[in-house]
Amino acid sequence: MTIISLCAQIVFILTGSPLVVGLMSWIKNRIEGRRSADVLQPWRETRKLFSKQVLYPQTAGGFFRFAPLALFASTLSASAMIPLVSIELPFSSTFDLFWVVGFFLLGSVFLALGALDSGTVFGGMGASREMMIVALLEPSILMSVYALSIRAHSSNIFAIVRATILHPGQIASPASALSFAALVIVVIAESGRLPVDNPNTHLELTMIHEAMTLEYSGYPLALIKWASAIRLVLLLGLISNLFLPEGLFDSTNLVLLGVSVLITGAKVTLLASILALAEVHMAKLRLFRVPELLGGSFVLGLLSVTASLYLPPILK
Amino acid sequence: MSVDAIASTENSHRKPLTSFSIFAKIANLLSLIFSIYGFKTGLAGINHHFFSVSLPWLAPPFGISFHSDQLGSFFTLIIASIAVCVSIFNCGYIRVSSFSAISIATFPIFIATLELIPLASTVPTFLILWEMMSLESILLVLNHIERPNAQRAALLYAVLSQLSFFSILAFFAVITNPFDNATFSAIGRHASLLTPDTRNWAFILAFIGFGTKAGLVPLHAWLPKAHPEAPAPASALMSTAMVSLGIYGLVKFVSVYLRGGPQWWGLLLVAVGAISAVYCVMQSSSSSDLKVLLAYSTSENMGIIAMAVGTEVLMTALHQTYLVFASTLATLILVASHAIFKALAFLATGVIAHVTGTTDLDSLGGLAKKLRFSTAAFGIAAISSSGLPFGAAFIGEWILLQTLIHIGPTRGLAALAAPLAIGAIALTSGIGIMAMVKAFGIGFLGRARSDLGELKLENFRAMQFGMGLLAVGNILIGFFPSSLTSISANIVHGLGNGSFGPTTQGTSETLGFDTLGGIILPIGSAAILIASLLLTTIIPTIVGKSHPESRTVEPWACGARELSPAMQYNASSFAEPLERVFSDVLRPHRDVETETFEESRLIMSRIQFRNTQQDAIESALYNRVIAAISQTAQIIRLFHNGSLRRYLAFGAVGLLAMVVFLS
Repeated sequence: MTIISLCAQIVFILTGSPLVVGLMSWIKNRIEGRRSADVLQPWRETRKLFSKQVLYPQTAGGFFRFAPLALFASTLSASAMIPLVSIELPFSSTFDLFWVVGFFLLGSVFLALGALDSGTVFGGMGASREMMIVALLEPSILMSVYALSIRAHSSNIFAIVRATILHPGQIASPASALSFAALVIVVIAESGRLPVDNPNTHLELTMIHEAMTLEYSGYPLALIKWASAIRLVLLLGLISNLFLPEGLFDSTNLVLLGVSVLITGAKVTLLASILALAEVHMAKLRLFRVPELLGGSFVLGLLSVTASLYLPPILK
Repeated sequence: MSVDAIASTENSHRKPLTSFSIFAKIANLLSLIFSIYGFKTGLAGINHHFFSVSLPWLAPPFGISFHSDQLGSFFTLIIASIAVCVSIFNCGYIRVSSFSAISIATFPIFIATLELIPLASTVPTFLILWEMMSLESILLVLNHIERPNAQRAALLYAVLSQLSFFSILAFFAVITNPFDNATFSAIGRHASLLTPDTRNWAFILAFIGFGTKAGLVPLHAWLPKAHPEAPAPASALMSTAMVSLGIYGLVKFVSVYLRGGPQWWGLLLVAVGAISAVYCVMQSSSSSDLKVLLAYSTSENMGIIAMAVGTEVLMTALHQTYLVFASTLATLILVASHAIFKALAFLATGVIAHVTGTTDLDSLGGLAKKLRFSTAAFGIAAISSSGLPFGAAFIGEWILLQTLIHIGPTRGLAALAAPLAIGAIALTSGIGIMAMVKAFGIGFLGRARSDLGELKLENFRAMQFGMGLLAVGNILIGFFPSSLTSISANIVHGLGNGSFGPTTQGTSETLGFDTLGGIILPIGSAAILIASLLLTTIIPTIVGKSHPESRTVEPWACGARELSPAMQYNASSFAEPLERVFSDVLRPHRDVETETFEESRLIMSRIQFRNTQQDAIESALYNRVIAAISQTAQIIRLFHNGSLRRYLAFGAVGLLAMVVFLS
């Protein structure tokens, strides 16, 4: 049964993630008063890129070719370790949150190494900026993990979600509010959205993720784009299930699994829409203002930890 | 043809035997014998077959005596495992590199000394070996004695290791019972009878003495200076085995013999460890010399290990027995994993330094296409050291994090210790990832930044074998950590004399603590990763129609004719964003010199950019201390004007004062 849940989750993420990206750009375009392609557009682009000839720069080495595969594989592995549609997956008792966030890092590291191996200016520029953000984001991530683990007395991601299902009242605490705020910043920075990075820019001065992928074409580019869409959906799904695990069932019923898929889909869609709405009203931060934002997230996490150790939840 | 291939074809051309090469062969054989014997001794020791030798005739009146325990054997085992690989590597390396005769002769003795220190059972034995270790490593730093940098590094290192030695000497003076013999077991009996004040002094002295050897801030300055000067195999041993002995001293004397103390001991260790880790990882990420980068990274890792020791002391003070167990376990695993990945990184760097003649990242690049084996070795070491999943460093850091998140509500300063320690570990591992991406990405990937000529490598097989063993060790620890953790857990149980009770240690390949509710299973996740990789390779064929063969093209050059390799990001530019964020700490020093044309001052003919790295702590603290000492010397010099009558008068006054005070 856990295998079926896993397959459902993987299929859900693989097919759903381009749609979420399409939905977000549709919302942004409409609010900005432009006509927009429909939500299926990212899927069409993916299909197109998969059918195109792949061009490799002469200056690139072997790591450049391997990086997109490694990025996609590590993102896919992370999506097999997060409770999106089920709270029971194969090996789920071993998915410690410290371990799982490492898979996101692994993806970033491989992409940065691939970019450096392109032997061009932009690859290095993107890699350098991305690694700076990764380095400064790490304390916020681990602090949020710490804050979440106190409730469940464990840093196992499935145990945390189970504990929230068992004691829903614990969510209504100052600590949870603070850790939610910290995690929102983490999610935005980790998925490369505004105001940390603008996924639609091609301006030298501002691009981070795009600079790393500039030399890619064909199916490697499609894999990279798809991986960042998956990452976005995973993080949105993770944050919604950590704080609002309604719709996850501890059961082996196929119908309930379908219901879970629908509910998680709805939650992710809702969060993505809110994120898109917020992005319309936001400008990208200067690169050297980003550390302040990440520092803010770290402080929120720290406050959340102290609050959850010393302040009781409002509802028992 | 790759250089590795050239290397194997050129193996047939052997140099004629000279007396020097026979001498080098004997030294190599000795290092191999010593390290294999040390390995056997260590392995027997952790299985309770202790090594026991007493030589009362040597170094009278105390004699030399060894009697190992499990903890010591564990450290000997780690040191000897590294030494075996380094000795094998050295069989090839010694013939191609510029070892001086003194370094060659010192090397086997250095290995033997390192292995014997954890087995020593009396104070004089320990001190003699400790001082021998310092002297031998100074000789190795002075391999190229004619270089001014080597002389300066050796001087600084000698001063700091004497500081370390005198603190340890004073520590033993404080802690030993003058009416009992000077064995460690007597110290253990006596330590519990000391007054709290004496114990505090003992702790501070041990902390300074062993902390300097481990390279903790602010006494870390010798590490980044000494390593670039020593030959790579010596660096590999100094950076793994020797600094680990600093940690051994802290664990053995502070945790085992003093049996912990007040909370502030632990807090001090955690604080100094955290500062060392964060400060040194920043320095490491901004340095552009590969060996300096690795040396700072050693200090960083020792900082994290000091945090683990501090957590252990703190938990002893708070009587959280289970967490004492977990944090001691973290200490031992961190020491072992650090040793194995750092040795590999230094050996790979040695090959690079030999082949290209430089370790400056700004002139390297593109090595992946030419030196496949060394690139793979360095890549494994880099991934292992950066705390990513499947890396050797992850296991120990994870256990330490598990310990910290389970501390729970406490009173006083200890309440803030856990969150801030986690923040420090996270920042360290984040910046550490950046440093390793830089070392690997700039040094080995991309295009070569300068013409390195034809890369030629001889006698590569032994070097490959030595690096290969270490690489396999790294991979084994990363994917199957349970063998290392179960050995370490046994040692920790031995230290606690069964006071930890039953501790679920995870069966087969799972690693974790049921009591702490945290388990990881690297091999299970590895299966998921491999399945994902397979899925990734077949997805293009499912989703897309067939696409034409790939083609290589010119990279995009922003409209320019061609991209020169110098246009790539280099080590300095890669670290620039982070340097700017932490400019208060890192204080980058930049010089831009421009030359303009005669005709127009606005058009530049030449721009020169220089970026030098400064160690802020070193320039602030060390220079002041040196200035204070030379000022004092200046004042004393006023009294020494060379006049014989004045010296006679000093003598008379001194004698008179003695008579007055003693009567």
